[in-house]
Amino acid sequence: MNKPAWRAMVFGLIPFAFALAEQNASSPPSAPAQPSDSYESRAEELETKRKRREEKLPPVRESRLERILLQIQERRLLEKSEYGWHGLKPRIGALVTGSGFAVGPEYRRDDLAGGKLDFRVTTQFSTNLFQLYETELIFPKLADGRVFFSVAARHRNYPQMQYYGPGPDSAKSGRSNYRLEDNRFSLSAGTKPIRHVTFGVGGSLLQVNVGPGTRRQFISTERSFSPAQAPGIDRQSDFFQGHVFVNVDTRDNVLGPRSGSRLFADYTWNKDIDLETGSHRRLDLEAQQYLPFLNRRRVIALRARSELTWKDRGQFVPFYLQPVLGGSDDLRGFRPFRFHDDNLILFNAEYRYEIFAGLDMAIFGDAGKVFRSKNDWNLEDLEGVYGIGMRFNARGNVVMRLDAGFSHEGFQVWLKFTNIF
Amino acid sequence: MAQVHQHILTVAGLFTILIVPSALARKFYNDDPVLALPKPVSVGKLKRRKASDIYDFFLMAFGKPGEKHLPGNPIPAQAVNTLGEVPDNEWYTNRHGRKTMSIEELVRGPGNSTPPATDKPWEVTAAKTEGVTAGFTIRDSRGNRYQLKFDGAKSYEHVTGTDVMGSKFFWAFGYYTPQNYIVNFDTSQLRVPPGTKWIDKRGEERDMVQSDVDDIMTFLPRNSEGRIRALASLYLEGDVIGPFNWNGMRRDDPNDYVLHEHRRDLRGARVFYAWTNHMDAKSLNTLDTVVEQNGVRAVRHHLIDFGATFGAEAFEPKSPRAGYVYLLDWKDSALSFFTLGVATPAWTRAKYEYVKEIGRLEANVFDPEKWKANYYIPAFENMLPDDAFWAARTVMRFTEPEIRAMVGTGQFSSQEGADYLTRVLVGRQQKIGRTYFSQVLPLDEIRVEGGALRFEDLAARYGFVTPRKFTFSWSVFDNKTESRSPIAGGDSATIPSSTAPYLTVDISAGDAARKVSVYLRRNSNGYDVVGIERTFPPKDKT
Repeated sequence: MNKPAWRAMVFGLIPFAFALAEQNASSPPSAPAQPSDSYESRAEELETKRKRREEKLPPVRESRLERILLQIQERRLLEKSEYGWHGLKPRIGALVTGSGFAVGPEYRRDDLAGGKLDFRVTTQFSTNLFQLYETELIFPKLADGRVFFSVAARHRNYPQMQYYGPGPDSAKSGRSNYRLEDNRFSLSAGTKPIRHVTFGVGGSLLQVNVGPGTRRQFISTERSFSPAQAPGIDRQSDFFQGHVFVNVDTRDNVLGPRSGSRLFADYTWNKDIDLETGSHRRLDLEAQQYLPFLNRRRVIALRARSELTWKDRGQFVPFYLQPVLGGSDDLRGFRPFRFHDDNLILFNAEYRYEIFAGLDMAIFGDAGKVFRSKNDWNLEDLEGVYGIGMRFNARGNVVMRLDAGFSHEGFQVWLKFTNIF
Repeated sequence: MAQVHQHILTVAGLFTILIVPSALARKFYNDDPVLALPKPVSVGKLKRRKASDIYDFFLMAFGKPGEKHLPGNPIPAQAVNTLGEVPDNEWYTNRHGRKTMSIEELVRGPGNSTPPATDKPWEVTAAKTEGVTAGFTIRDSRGNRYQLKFDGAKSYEHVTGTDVMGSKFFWAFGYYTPQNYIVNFDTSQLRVPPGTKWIDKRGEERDMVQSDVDDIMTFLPRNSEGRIRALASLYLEGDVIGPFNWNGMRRDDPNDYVLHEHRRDLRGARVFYAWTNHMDAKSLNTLDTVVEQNGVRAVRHHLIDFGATFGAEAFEPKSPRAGYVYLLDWKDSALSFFTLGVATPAWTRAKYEYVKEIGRLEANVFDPEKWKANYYIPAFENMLPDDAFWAARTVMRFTEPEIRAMVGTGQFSSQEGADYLTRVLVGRQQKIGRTYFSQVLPLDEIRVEGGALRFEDLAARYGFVTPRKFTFSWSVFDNKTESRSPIAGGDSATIPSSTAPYLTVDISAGDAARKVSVYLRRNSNGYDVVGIERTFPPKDKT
């Protein structure tokens, strides 16, 4: 219960004003006082009060608004909207930043094979004509919940992906757009041998096609950048991807952490099976730490992330597979997909303080950069962001985030329905 | 002349209207003080009322309903007798507050002889779909129905332990509560009979199957023997007709003629809720049933669901906010917002121990005057110092061994945690006594003995003040006109020599704003106490 709960809270405020008027108008007064010498005893007085009330009992009235809310609860309308009609429901939300509002049907069943099998098919279309088709079959709890396995297939057609050019010195004015179209067929499996620790392996086939962008306000990428500046812009390939990962997670609540930490590492081999020019290896590292104080009403949240790639001589990392910075989840004062290069390093720090049970504020700073050479894996020349945000939560789970980030390129405001970290 | 005649008649008429009622008025009846209400009016079939917790929250948080005190003119509590006591009624029964209960009685609470029978599997008849903790409705081999509730992984023993404790504490305070039992069992104890319906997480109704129960049980924490611990709450007697509100009256109940926000037993409950840190004082945690006794059907009002008392809060240890601020507290929120969280209220610095064992509860930062439920409760907001005294007096009657024994009913596996909980409750108890015994003149056990008025100064008894001197001012009291005629020389506890049907004495300890007025009625042996009134400084309660 996250979005429905939040909506009920906000949009219910106005009707409650009317409900209150109704309530106050209907509150019955106390039984009126009567000349006491009519009675011989206190008991007689009390009995008479009761009998008088019995003779003039007002009709029972219920608030219409309360009746409606009860109907919603009793008919489980929120649960039904979450799970849909026999698993079929609308999927709403942006696909990537810049895709516009997206909606489409989703069929999901997590109760197959006695709850051991989770199946999903999703289709979404956005106002900017982005498309997503996805299906997934997951065995989430094999071997007493210690093993998981999944098979997935996905087709994306994103016609207006942003590209500003390579490296940390790309110009804000150099914005271009391109179409990214890919198919991905993947398998993954993992195990949770002990509490907090998960290992996994996976393999996938990735078929990529890049074409001209459709957003007319910005130049199409292939007209603005050469293959040297946007490797792979001229010819795209297919990739076999294999990866292994390890995740150590001691956070108290994944959806709204106030203590604990997370360490994540993922190593991926990308084998260009078509053109044999884009093969590379990639290491994703992430560390999160949450430092609570004042009875966990204040939290210092820290994150460090790095994505590093290695390639053999004569190979390159296609621009559409490069690490990227900029947007709501990393450098929040910059536009989405602002910086591309072979490597990145990122730091986020937030001071989160509770306003009331359902809202935390955050004052944050982001710093990071993309770079070509591993020699630049340091703390120099980082792009900086500072900002302020609000995190709305329901029972400790962040359900909505509003962030405003400021950088030397201006400011960005983000409204997201997920936490940043 | 005719005009003069008319004016005389008008004045005479006004005189009659003014005088006749007071000639008819009487402060005390012969059967005062009433210790138990007369038999209620029998009710027919009452409509079952359902309540929405979301509606209740928003109405209370933003609407703040209920009749409130006017500035400088507080509304005295009602549903009290002439001694200021609450007569036994369908809301409240005088128990530990009037006559000391034995430890066995305190531990027994509303009953402990009807736990679920374990000779055969329990039949699951429904799944609990309200609230945040998992649960089932079961029927045992004797046909008794129970609500089963479980602890969460982060709050093992908290919910089950505190629910049992809470039911016994509130029973001892005087309220109607259910019989709660802690049970430990294997999954084989639960059986789903054919035809049992339930609504799954998708909101769809279907036949319940055994695997539904097994799926829920898989995620429940277990004790060292691999058994599951649960709270089994015996269904209440009578026909359920829904919760009661903390304000207003139930429209179709002829015996409910006092606005709830003015009932002493509900106003004073704030003290009990504060002591036990029962911040979830919402309407949905109450329940009315129609019970037939001696041929009369009447509504009995219960308090239920104590899983958020003491250190517990449903599926996790109690939030550090609980009891200190509302869920939506404008003042606290504004302070935090505008100071960027730099301003830190005292509760953010409270220290807790044994959180894993018993949840969060402390006594150092606790301030009974500032305690708050999750949101606005009309009856709590109307509590006056004499209402608080009435309740604080009961709280102070609990001795440490009694508190310890009642904590023991929670069956916490950590003895250190249970000891800590006892110490904290004693600490909170002391603060309650110290706070509320200073707001009125805390005289109790007022009686006539040996031709003199005797009483106990509770503040001195519990060590909050040193023994103090009192002044007495005696008067003859006219029960019909309520006028007083001072008695010369009446300046001690000794009852002056008089044959008047009623006497009154004002007792104070040097503070003219806080005094106790005692009314005595003549009987064949002298006098007995028929009325007590307490005065206190005005407090803006709006």
